Amino acid sequence: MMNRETEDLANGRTGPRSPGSRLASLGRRGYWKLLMLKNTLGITLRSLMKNKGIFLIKVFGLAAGIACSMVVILYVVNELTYDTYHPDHERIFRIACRRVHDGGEFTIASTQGPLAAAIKEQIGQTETVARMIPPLENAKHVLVTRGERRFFEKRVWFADPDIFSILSIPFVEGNARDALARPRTAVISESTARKYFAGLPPLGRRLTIELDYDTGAAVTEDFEVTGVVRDAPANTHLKYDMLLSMATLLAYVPTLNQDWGEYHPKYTYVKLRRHVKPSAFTKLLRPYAERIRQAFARRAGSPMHKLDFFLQPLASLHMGSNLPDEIEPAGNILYVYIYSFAALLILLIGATNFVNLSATLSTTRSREVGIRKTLGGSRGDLVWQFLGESLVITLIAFLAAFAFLSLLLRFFNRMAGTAIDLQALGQPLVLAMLLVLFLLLGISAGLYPALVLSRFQPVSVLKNQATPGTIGHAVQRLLILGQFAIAIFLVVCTLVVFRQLTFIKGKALGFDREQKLILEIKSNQSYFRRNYEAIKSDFLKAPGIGAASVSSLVPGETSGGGYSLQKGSSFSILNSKRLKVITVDHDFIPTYGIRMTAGRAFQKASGNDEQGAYIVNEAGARELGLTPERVLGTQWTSHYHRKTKTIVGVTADFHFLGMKDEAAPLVLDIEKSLLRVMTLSLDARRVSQALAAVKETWRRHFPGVPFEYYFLDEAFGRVYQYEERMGNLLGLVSGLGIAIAFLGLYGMIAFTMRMRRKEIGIRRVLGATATSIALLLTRQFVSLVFLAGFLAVPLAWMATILWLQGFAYRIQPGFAVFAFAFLATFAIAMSAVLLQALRSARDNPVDALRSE
Amino acid sequence: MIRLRGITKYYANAFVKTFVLRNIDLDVKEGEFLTIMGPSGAGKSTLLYILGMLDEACEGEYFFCGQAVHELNEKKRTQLHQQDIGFVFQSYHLIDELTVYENLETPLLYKKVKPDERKSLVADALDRFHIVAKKDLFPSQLSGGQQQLVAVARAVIIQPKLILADEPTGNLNSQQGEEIMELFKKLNAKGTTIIQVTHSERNASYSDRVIHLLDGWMINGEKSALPGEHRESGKRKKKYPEGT
Ligand SMILES: Nc1ncnc2c1ncn2[C@@H]1O[C@H](COP(=O)(O)OP(=O)(O)O)[C@@H](O)[C@H]1O
Ligand SMILES: [Mg+2]
Repeated sequence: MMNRETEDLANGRTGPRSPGSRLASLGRRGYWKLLMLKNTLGITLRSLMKNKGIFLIKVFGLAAGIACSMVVILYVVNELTYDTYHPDHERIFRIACRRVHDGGEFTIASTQGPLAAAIKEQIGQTETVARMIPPLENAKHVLVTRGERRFFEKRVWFADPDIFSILSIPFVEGNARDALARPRTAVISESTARKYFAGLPPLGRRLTIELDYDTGAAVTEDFEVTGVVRDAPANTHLKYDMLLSMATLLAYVPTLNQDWGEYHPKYTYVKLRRHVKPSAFTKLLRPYAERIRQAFARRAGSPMHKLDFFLQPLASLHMGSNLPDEIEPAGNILYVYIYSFAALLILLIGATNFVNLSATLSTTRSREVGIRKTLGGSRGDLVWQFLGESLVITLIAFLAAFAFLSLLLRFFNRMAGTAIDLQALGQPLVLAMLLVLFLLLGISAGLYPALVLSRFQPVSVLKNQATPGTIGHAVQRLLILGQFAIAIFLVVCTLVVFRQLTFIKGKALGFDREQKLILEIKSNQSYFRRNYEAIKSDFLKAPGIGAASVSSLVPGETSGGGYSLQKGSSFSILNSKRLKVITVDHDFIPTYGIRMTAGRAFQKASGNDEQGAYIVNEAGARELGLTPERVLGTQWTSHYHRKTKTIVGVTADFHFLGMKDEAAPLVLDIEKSLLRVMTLSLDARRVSQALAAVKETWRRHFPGVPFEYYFLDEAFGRVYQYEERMGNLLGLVSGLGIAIAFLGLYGMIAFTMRMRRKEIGIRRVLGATATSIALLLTRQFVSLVFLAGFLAVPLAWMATILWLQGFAYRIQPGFAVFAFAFLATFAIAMSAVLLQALRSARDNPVDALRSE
Repeated sequence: MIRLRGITKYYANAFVKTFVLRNIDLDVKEGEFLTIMGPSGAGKSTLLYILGMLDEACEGEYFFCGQAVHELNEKKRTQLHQQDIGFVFQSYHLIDELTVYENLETPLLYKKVKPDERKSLVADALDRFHIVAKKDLFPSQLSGGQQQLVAVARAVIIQPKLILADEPTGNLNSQQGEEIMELFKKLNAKGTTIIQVTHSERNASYSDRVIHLLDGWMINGEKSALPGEHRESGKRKKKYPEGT
């Protein structure tokens, strides 16, 4: 039987081979690597399946790190590519303006109305100039109506038609040339079109829009929709839902193109001709700066020393410009760093698992390595094989990461206040970064296991001698140490952030914020300001409403609004003091339960408080240079209304912007023209009843205006939103980090136990107790986690102390925080060890021995 | 073909040197069938691994087809052995996670044989060893004899000049062992040089020459000292191309 076989064998053909093929095959090394990879792919998958649990742990850790990194890449790309999608954005600038007067320097992002025309007609040098002007008095709440559909819009602009040839705002319907040519025409975004027209073709249809041109009362008019444009992407500083024709504004503000002293913000964008230097162009603007200076001097009667323009490159606005009248809050490079750092930590912990588990598992592959080497595989071949495997696993982890990317992105958007969507993944820059991440991760995580594995010598492996799997131990321990040091660091930071938040949230603010219903008056403001006493008393008739007050802002709202106060009965900016202002009615102080430390609150009985009284807080008194007792009775004139009033009372400091900072110097003034919000105190037992009645009353006074309300205590939480973001982020990252580290440790130990099953069995037979075996197996990990604690705690201490510096009122993170963080991490790590140790110690030792 | 001079191998720790091979001189002619015998621990496997370039001697010179192996670096040695040497082991050493087909294919991949040629070589080997039906099975699904058959097929698939076999029949029953020895005999008849380690006199009788190892010393064999001249010239039917 053998004969025929051996005969065939000995006659075995030799393939046709030319001498040149050796060179050719050398030149195609990459090709062979690929072939090899194809051959080893099978073995990769099969050996992965052999240790499913460990495979899952590896993939989970990597995938979590990758998903976090993807989100952060999307975020970073979004932040750093702001407004770079406009063609020729290098030549597009916003004109900003720096003013110097005695009070100091004041830089704003907007300029005056006539500048655009002056540039176009007298300076030249530009391809186009265009202005974007927010609705003058109701920019953040433009009431738009179509039949039953009625919403407040926040992103409405009056736009010069030329803006379409500066910024990339693609038309879906209509065209850029004609769309904004006539008065009362509107171009709307696609999503706005859906919102109001729900599938009907919007072109030629009408929207009713209420606009306040600062002419005394708001004007409600129909606008014809003449164009539909793409939604503004997330990465532009100038987001829009509706663009209205400049001709409309001009009809109500006829001096728009002539008046150099008008103060409403007007943003001017220029696209310079090729080869025009921005600095040269800025020089040409100087004469116009002079006109503005003179116009202001005439109007305000106060000297302005200097005014000059400067150009802000379009793409730099988001990160590089943080002016008081910025259209969108400026980007913060700090967050780019913080988020990147957080993603990096998760990635590190995940990759560490990968490296550690691969190295631990390498002992099971040693025989394969030995055989492959005897079959002619070189060390290089084997390194490539294992790198290939790690790339395959990384690829699987990438696919897994995509699966939970959308969930994570939604969480991130909510947390970071961003609006990034998955489509951003398609950008070439993002794809390039993902590719780099993939290669970097696959190679860096695979390199160490590949080096360990490829080092096995065939002789020792094939002679069944002990495999040199111990080579890796020092590195592996170092990695576990690093993992747990990071985890402990994160837990300490998380704990400190949350404790600080609880601390400042629990601290007395100096006013009462429970059960306060807030109604913002966004439409019909002039009606409200004229009749607020009557409106208030109507609301007070509703059941469950205990008190009512109107004011210019409520606690938690930031506002740049302030009074410059000059002692005495005339005003000059020169010696004035700047205080924040809340304009209020007589009931504000009692409604909010604010305590008086000197003098009295506003009183209707005194008759003249509206014309003659200010109240300041203690910080305000200090700012004015007087003690609370001495400030009483002093007279001050405000820059705003030029009225001279007497300070009649001093309140205790109250923190209407939270406890992050010291209480701001503040003046309270009864001044109708700025009132815009109403506070109603609710009876906690009758909330729903009260709400229904309040809604009824609202309908009567503001027919056709959507009824919107919020509770103060909920909204007030927003003053801590940055700290809360930080807390949530840290919570997520440390939770994820610990989970991954735990799983990694668990997997490693589970595997080690399996390898030592026989040894444990023998020990049991010899009389060892489960506990003593558990101890034997856990000893080395205990010392590792301890060491991690010693490394992490001082670093965490420094980091948290630095962070706490930003708070006026802060906790002292004591020993307890660190001890707790350390013990919690320690307990989690130990539970991984103990779970395994106890399990294998409880096994019947005879099974273990028999299976050999 | 093979020329060993003064090959010495020892394992040293801080206190003692344990000698495994002592001053071995050995010449093997092309086409020879050599048996190494000796008690367990005598150094047989070590000698075989040194011959196979998987291990290095501590002292001495090793020439393989005129090349000074002891002067080559690891890369060159790997090249040399992947071209010319096939291994067969007592415990088969197939890769558990690969099918029979993939096991056979692996050395060809390392040798960078072109895909078409590789396929035909593997198909050929499966055919010749009558294991076509087993090609998609994993080693654990085969009997010991079948596994060793696959291992031999894998060793000869690269058409080596030299086959090194370390107790190839040690785990087989006598009938299976006989088959493997017959196979070797035929291969040898076609010109392949074979060096085997065995404890069995019966297996040794297939070879031209036997050498004995004892505690690392070589004791000259009694069976025909050198192969006859006819063997020398009877040589291999085909010339195996160098390289590729
Ligand atoms: N890595 C090593 N370290 C120390 N001694 C070794 C090592 N490898 C093999 N030996 C010793 O070398 C001797 C010869 O081994 P080996 O060549 O496997 O013998 P044989 O194959 O003849 O039974 C044995 O005594 C063995 O203990
Ligand atoms: Mg041996």
